[in-house]
Amino acid sequence: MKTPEDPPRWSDGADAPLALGSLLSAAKRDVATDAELSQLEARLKPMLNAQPSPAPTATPTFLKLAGGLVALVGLGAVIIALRQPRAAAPPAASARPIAVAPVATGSGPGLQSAPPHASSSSLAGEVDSGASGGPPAAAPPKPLVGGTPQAARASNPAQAEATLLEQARAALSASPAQALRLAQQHAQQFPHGLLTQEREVIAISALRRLGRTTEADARAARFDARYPHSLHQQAVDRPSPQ
Amino acid sequence: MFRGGATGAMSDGTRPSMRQVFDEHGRYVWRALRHLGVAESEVPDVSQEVFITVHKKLPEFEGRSSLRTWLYAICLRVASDHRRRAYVRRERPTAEPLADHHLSSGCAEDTSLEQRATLLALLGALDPDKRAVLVLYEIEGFTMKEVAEIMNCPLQTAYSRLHAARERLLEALRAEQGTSA
Repeated sequence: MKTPEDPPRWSDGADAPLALGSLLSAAKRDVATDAELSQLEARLKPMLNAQPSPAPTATPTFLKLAGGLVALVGLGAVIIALRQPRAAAPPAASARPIAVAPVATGSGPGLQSAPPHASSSSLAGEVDSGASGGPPAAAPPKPLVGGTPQAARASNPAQAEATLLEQARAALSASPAQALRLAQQHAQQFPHGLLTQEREVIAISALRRLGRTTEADARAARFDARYPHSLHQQAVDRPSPQ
Repeated sequence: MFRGGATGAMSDGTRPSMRQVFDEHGRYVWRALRHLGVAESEVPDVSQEVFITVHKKLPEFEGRSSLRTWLYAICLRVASDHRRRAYVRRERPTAEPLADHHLSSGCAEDTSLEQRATLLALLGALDPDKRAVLVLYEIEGFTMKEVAEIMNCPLQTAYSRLHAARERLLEALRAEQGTSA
């Protein structure tokens, strides 16, 4: 492992001045505790239990699609936001104070004291209430008519997720109501999905376009609290600064 | 050809599953992020981000590097992005009250809270590149050749950074001892 050119490691106690040897040596043993690892495992459960790709050269497409969609959705939302007069000053939006509430961190109750899928489930609930504007029970669990034949047929969940959200994003300009319905459908079909943040970005933008400002604001605030460090922070359709 | 064995990949040349990557490297990703300047309270979020990236990229991993160096290169990028976002938000990643959080999270094995806090404070005196080289070599146990590969820099640059990092670390420790004496 060690090449001849490598100097002796201080962490092995070799030539380490002062207390640095013991500090670095202790750091080597300072790995995640069982509890910390369990918490992380609970968050990652959907992807840890997913079947690995059978043939590396044959099937990376769906994951590329999922990864590409993340960028696409974010970019799309940014473009949409930029087209709106109130979002003409993105620095103001990005400079908006972002609350770093305890719930937003890994130690927050929303993520750690809840069951493994609590985070995703709670987002699914938000989509229900936000999209229907009424009781969550009114939301139809079946795929929407003409909405997502490709997503419904897709055999891979990640691909289906990505396809559904891509359709939602595409519908945003012409029919924000349809975009919202598709976001709702995503929440129902993929309560523990990998693209929940992307879904929220779309749903918030759709609500704003539908004039449901209060719901959009509340949802954006919840997004901030839940994902304060999200890469999609700047893609979220913000309320206009007063 | 996919490389296996000690790299963390499967010995039969097949691609490791996410479960295998997590089980083998999860604890160490956490350790690396902690020492790369991610605030303790944010290590869970950033670790999650690392494994989401791994999940997305794993099918594209061709084994030109070892799985472990590939994984740590992802750690480095995610940690760097995290620091940049924290800077934009005008947060100071390592400025949180360490002791409070550590008391609740505990330390692994026989590492004391004081040792951890001291080392993190000293590492905070290093710039990100030097810090990364020192952490990868001294704590994560990579060879300097691997460090250079992870950092995507010439080997000689990696050596220079290690040398500078050690000097700076020593200075910081002397200063620390001077102020506490």
